[in-house]
Amino acid sequence: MVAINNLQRKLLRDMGSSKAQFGAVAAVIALGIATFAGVYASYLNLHVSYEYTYDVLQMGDYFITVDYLPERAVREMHEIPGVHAEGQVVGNVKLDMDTAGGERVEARIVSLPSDSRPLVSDVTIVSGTYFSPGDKREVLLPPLFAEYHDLQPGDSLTIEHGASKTSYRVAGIAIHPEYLWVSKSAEEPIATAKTFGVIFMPQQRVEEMFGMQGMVNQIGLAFDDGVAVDETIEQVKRILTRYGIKRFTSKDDQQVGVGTRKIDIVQGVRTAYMVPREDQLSYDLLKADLEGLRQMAVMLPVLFLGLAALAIYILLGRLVESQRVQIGLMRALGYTKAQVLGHFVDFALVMGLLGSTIGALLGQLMASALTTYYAGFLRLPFIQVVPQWGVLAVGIGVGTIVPVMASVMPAWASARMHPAEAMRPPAPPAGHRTFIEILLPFVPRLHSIFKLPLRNMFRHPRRTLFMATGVMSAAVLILVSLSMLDMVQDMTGNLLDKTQHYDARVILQGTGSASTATHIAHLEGVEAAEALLDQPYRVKLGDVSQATSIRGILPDSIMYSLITPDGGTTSVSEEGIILPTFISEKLGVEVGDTVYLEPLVGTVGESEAVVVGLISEPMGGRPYLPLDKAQELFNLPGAATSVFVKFYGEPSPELLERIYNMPEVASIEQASSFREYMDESMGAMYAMVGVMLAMSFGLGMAIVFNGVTVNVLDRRREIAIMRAIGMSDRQLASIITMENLGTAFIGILIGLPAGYRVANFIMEAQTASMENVSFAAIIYPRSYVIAAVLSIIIMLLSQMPAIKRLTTMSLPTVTKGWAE
Amino acid sequence: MSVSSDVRTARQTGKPLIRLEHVSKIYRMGKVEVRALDDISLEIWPGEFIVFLGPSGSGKTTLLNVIGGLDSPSSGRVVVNGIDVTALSSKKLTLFRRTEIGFVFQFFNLIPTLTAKENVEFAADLVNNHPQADELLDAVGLGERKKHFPAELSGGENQRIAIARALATDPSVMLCDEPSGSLDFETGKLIFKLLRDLNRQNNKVMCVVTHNAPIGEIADRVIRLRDGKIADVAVNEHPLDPDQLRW
Repeated sequence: MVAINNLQRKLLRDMGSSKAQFGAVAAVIALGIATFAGVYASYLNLHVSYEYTYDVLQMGDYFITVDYLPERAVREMHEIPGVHAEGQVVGNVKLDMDTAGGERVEARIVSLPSDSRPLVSDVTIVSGTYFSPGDKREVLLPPLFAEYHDLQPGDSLTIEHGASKTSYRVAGIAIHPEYLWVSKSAEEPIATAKTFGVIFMPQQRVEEMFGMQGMVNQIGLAFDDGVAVDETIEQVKRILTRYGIKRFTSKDDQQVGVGTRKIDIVQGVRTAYMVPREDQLSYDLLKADLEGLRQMAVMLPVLFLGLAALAIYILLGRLVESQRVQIGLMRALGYTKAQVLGHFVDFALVMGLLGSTIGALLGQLMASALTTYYAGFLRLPFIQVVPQWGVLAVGIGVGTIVPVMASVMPAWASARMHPAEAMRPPAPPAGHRTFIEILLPFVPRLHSIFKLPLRNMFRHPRRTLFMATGVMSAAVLILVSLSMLDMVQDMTGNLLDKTQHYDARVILQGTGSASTATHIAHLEGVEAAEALLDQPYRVKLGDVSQATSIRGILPDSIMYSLITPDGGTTSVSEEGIILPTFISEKLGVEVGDTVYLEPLVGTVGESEAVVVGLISEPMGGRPYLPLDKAQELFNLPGAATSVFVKFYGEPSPELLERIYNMPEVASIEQASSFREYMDESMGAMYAMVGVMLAMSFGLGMAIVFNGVTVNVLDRRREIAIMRAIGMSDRQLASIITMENLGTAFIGILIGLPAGYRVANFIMEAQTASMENVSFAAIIYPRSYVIAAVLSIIIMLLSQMPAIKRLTTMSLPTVTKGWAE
Repeated sequence: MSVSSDVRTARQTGKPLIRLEHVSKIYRMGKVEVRALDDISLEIWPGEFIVFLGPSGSGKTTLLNVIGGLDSPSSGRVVVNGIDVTALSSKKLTLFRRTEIGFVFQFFNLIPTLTAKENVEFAADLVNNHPQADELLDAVGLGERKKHFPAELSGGENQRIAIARALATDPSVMLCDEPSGSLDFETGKLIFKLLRDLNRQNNKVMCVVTHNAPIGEIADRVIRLRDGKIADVAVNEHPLDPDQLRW
């Protein structure tokens, strides 16, 4: 048993006699540290899990995309010392899912070696087998796609390419490291399995399908340890140059002179897009997602610990004030200033240690659950969940240091107290008219039930401010939580209601013809159809560039509206290009400026365009041109990559089948699909917001409970006298409630605007690492009302224990002043 | 009862244990100046039982605080047991209070979350070679109530704990500010009997502040204060036994 001295004994017993208050603060600390430990440990676990998966599956270190390249070029690369090279053929097809509506799904076919496992970026087989030896019609499917379409090893899948339809057997379910996150492109990071998938097929079959016998259009390179990467890439570029590649692009490119590019256009330049692993699409998206998690791991605890520090500062200040006689006694007995200061710091130390230890342990449990959930969501094959001792130590350290720091000022005030003055009762405050009585001269004429609370609020401004801070904190956290729901709702509302007026987007195979839109428009049941053309481009100015996809649409399109930042609409113009605000901000351009457009693939050279307008698009924002201008820029006259379609009412299965059967059509993406996808994803979002609201409520109650209790206990004698002279419990409770509601009103007035600012800050921080998306905090008016109402509820609930205590206290004891 | 022979001898032959030289204490509140003590000089001898009498605001408590190092005079000098209290730094003043002074307050000022024994030990923990808390509590007649908290004890019992606590560091001077102020008559008498016995048995200087004049009858000397000055000093050749007190 640990021996403690009487000072420590006093500490523990003082805490025990106010265990609810101290416990509430410790709970706030625990929540903050649990959030940090749980989320940060998850971030570390996931980071390790991802890297382990990439290592085990030998994910490539560099990736090259070209139009075509002979396989011998890949063999030459493979012969470079320390380099492993694997060529693939990648192309788009459509899948006939054999449904009543003739539903087609757009799919990206990725080739894998027929008779051996890949040297670079291998797959792991979850169920079934790898391809059988020999020339078999087999495919491997990723788990999420297979689950969505209820496909298992042994089932068959019909692939349409051109005029042919071929049935393939599902050999197995496999996870590929380059497709942990399946997306069509950087501009369309979210793809639903309903309309898009990636499937793996033996290389020979894919070569035949796309007429690429002996050719590849994608190469993965893996380097041994110690390889000089830059030199090796130069060697690879020399090989590519020998095979006709003249230009090399990457995710972040330097500006090349327009003059040089014009010559390139004349000569027809073949381009290779080369990215290191960090910029590979799936890797990059997962990294950004993980970065968001890391930022959340830091931001939320800062908020919680900041509020805990404030609560401790106020709580200890009150404690020092209430124990001034004991402090005077300690000094009179001969306790030094340091011992007195240390005594009060120890309160914070105990709260901090207790709260942070519990929080750290809870955080470990949370980390395990969160890691497993996240990894399961992606069907990550290798999950590493290990105790993160470093995170635990940091959590306990920070969770202890912050409260101790918050306690220093009140503890210092206690040590500085003059012993004689400390033991004298404080002089009663001088009577004076309060600020509110000066401002509103009719206050003295009000009924006591209004007059007393108003006077009390302004007679003790520090006390009132502390209470208001508690309510403000709750309002901020509730509003931030609700803003996440509002943001998603606004995003889907914006996309589906304000911008998207089409019922479906018909995706063509590769680059098709704009005349497909005319054919579709003439089908019975179709109200209108508009062609559009997308091409991957880089928008540049100086050293800054943004890889994106430029879209050509009809001027004054009835299918898609371009929304300006102030909420109005605009249209594409022959005079130039319209940019989304996140690109204009990144490049530092405004309307009237000139930007440079560089294709990411193909042989068209660079050109320039004047910015004629700015639009606000929350997801997948892209630049826009008139369709004919885009066709001219891309050197694709009469081309289209997809068609917006508007139906008369609900399209019949026969109509959809007719569209699916059109030769150029790869798939149909119905506008409702995105809403369905968002609804499916919202489950996790609602759970997260629910947890955040619960935490907000808990935090708010802990802070407000502390404030109300201290507030009421400070005035026990005053209240006891009021009861003694005949005021009823109900009247007393009403006066206190009115005062608390007035204080809550102040807290809400400050908390709502503060909540908006915090939500904005969080949103900006979250999207800072995501290149193609920009989110601003969206908070609907109803959320402000909900936050205000919930804050009031928190106040009313938190005051209940204190009011009960007041109405049951022993009048003789309190008026005598014994029960300190 | 007569003045203790030790006191008489000390007065005649020895040095005073407490000496105040022209001590003043002035409080300034804006333009208003309050002279709580006004040029006080006095000597207190080893073993004396002194009662400071005076109306409210006469400076009695301030005088006690200045002697005990709880407060500093605005001018003058205070020497206790050879130590110039007025020249001590804050740190040394703390040590002085710890080793030389025992305080007893009107409202006891016990730590409510510590038991009787723990309250005594709270002071004893500060020094080495201190009397045992059990013995002290036995000496004040609370041997059976050591494990009780202040809220579970009567006013008289609480004051006796406070006295035991004041003795815990074996001080040379006991300063008692209205020790019976919040007690009834009979209990108050018991307290004074205890203080008187401790004074006679342990030869500790006992300085008691009160506004209750009859209490002066048990003292060796009664020093009356008025408006911060010493108005009168009376020697009791035959101090009364506390049992005989009536007020």
